[in-house]
Amino acid sequence: MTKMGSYRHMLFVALRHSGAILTLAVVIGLLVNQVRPDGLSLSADLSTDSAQISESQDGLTISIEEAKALFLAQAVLFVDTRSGESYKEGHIQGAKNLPYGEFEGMHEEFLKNVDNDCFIITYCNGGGCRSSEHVALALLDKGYPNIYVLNNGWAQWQEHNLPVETES
Amino acid sequence: MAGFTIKKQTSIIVLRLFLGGILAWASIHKIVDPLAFARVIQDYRLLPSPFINPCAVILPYLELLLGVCLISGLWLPGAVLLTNLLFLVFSGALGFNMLRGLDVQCGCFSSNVSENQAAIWYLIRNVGFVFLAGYLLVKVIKDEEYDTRKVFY
Repeated sequence: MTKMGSYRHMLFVALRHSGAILTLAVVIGLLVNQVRPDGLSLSADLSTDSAQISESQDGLTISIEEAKALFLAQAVLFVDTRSGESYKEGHIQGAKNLPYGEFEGMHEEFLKNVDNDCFIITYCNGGGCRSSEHVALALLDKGYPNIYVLNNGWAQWQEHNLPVETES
Repeated sequence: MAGFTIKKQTSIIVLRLFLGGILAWASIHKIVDPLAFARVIQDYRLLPSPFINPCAVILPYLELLLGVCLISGLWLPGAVLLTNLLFLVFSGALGFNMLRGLDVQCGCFSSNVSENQAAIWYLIRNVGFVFLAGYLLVKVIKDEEYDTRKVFY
């Protein structure tokens, strides 16, 4: 085989291998996403202006106006489900941090002083974030019926210039 | 002549391990927190919204697979070709956003959006990877001793 022919053959082999690797990556990625509890919704739109309500979240969402009213009446506990770092950088005034990834280890201590009839609003950041929904469902499961999700909560709260605080 | 062969093979092996290690390492945090990675992709403002989550789900495993293939030698020509494409796409995306003045976090080795470093540094680093991957591609394609019927290099 000429040198040119050999390079061409090698490129053909490379393309064939690339196809195999890509296919494998797609299959593994989709399978793992399907199985893991914090898997992303593949049909979700991440844009922040559209209401992002997945099927399982239906019925749990609360509007920013309702959340504001409950906040002003001091009748609600806000649960920030973002990471500890994001929470420290800024959160809704009075909110407690309970990241979904640490729910199993933290929830007992967290819920020790929270009555079962307490109104709880979970929130995270970004229209496509689902940790607030996951935590809300987990809290429902633990016997807390008054759970709401403020969709894209952190961004909405800031847009409405409502009180925030940082961890000092 | 034997010395030359060893040297030639050594440079391929070193580059394989280096680039493979980088890709595998870079994939881990994205696999651990796909949501944070989705947000990084969103910040690039290059992909239409419906493609962001699928990309955040698949891309980390592509990186991991490429890392494993580069290190082990499995499907090496294809892995090197895809590695080149991947680094080119990353560099193109970074460069494009720099040109239009968007301050994006590259998301290469961390999905923490708040972590901010100069974009120019990311770009220089990525262009360096592009050159190394390009060099490896040329080496592998020109390697006349490689038996293409074999699965492992």
